[in-house]
Amino acid sequence: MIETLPDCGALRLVAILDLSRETMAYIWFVILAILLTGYAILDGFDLGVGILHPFVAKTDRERRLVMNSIGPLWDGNEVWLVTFGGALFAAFPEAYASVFSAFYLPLMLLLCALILRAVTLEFRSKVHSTAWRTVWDVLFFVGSLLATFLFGVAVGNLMLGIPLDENHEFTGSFVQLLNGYSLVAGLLAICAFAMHGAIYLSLKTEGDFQQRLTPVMWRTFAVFAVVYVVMTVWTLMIAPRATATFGAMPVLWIVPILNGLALMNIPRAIHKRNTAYAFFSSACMIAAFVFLFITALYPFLVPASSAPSNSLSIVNAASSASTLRIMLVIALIGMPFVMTYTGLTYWTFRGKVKLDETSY
Amino acid sequence: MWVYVFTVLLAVAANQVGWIAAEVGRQPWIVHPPVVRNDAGEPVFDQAGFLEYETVEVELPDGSSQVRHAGLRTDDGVSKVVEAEQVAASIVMFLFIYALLGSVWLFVLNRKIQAGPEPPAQGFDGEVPLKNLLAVAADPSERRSMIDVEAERGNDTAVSEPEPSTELKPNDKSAPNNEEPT
Repeated sequence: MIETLPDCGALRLVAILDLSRETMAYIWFVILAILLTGYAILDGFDLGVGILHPFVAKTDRERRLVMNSIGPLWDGNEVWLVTFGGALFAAFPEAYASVFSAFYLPLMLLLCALILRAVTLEFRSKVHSTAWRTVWDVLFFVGSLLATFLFGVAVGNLMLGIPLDENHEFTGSFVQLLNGYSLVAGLLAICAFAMHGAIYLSLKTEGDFQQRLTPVMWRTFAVFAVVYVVMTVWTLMIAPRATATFGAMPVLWIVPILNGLALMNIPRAIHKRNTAYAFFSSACMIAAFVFLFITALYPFLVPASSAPSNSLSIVNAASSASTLRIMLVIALIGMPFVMTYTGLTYWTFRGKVKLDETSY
Repeated sequence: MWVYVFTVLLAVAANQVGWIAAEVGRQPWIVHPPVVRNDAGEPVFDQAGFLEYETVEVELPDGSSQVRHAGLRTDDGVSKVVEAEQVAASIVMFLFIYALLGSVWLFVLNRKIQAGPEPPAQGFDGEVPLKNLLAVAADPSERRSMIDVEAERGNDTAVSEPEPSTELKPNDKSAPNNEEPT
């Protein structure tokens, strides 16, 4: 009887109880990376749709089409961000405290952008008035643009490292966060999500409107490719840490290579009119981006630009062993549910978007 | 009848006052320490009449240790980096957002109430079989309100094939067909 037990799921779950704090901290680092990747791919397209909204939709019907293409999906996508924030708070409270205090004002702006963008979808269709709808259209665009930009700026600053003292307290200022490199990182995020959103919209629409999206895909790709090259060169010049991990683990070079291949595959797929393939490529490209960001940080969560020894690392920022263990058990139980409802939602709302009386 | 309109405010007030009571009552703790209890399970008070809290031994950076209450005081929990002006700015921002959303909400809700409920397009006799719900979820051509689905039951028309979509999706092997036995 005893010999057969190690195979059953319940006992394998018990094995978690023997993991050391350090091991669980690294597991949580990987989970955070997965959450961030999922968020960037999923909310990436609906933020991109918001950015493109005023440029691609000419009539009220088209604006509704654009909004309804993400209507049932965007809030589920943003849950990935909420989960990421919650997991960071519980698993790495020191990193959460330092980063959220350092980025206080940008995060408040981000909240403002996400709130306005979210209510836009609900309120826009409630009143049949051009002025009313125009106001919400503008807010939808501004909210999407600002949120994307701020995400990019945050990533740029973490790539550079932020000034921290020996107690991991931020010693910089808001203006310092708006440096050239981070602003271009914000621009890169806008370009990437706009392209990702254009491809997504092309997947979800048909006819004349879909035809008009093809040049949009090309243009957003061209702008994105230029900013991508600038950003890659700039990163290699100023952040040698970005490739340090590759020295230790050469097998990881496969990720930047895949990133380049996915990038080059996008125009190929658009040219072949295989939009699903183009979307898959841009999703892979975004995943590779997040992966490169995470490996550039590793083994830190928040690198200190002031003195490397002040950095918040995976180990020194992690919670106690018992917190990490409880979280791990909850995550193992909760994840299958999240995967299931996400899959069900996308399955239910697959295909081209249609407008009916229940649409926004 | 007008008095009922204003009773909505009472519910909101009760909600807010409850929060305030919880937040103020918790002070000076932001994380309240566990209370020491005697064998009968009652909280223990010291000679001055204050509650006794459980303690924890904390290791200080210089290697020595100190015994502290097993909680976190609000003034120890506050961020040292965020400035008062930033907090003020964020409070003003949230006041603005909530005032805006609150007034928009009142405006839209008032319009809805003034217009009254729309009469249902078709009769709706309650029960919707689970099979039907799943069929609606599985078939994009069936994506409409349940009222319409109910209305069409028995009307055994051939359901159009789900249109070929190029969307990314999980393996598309068994789209359940919608010819349900009634």
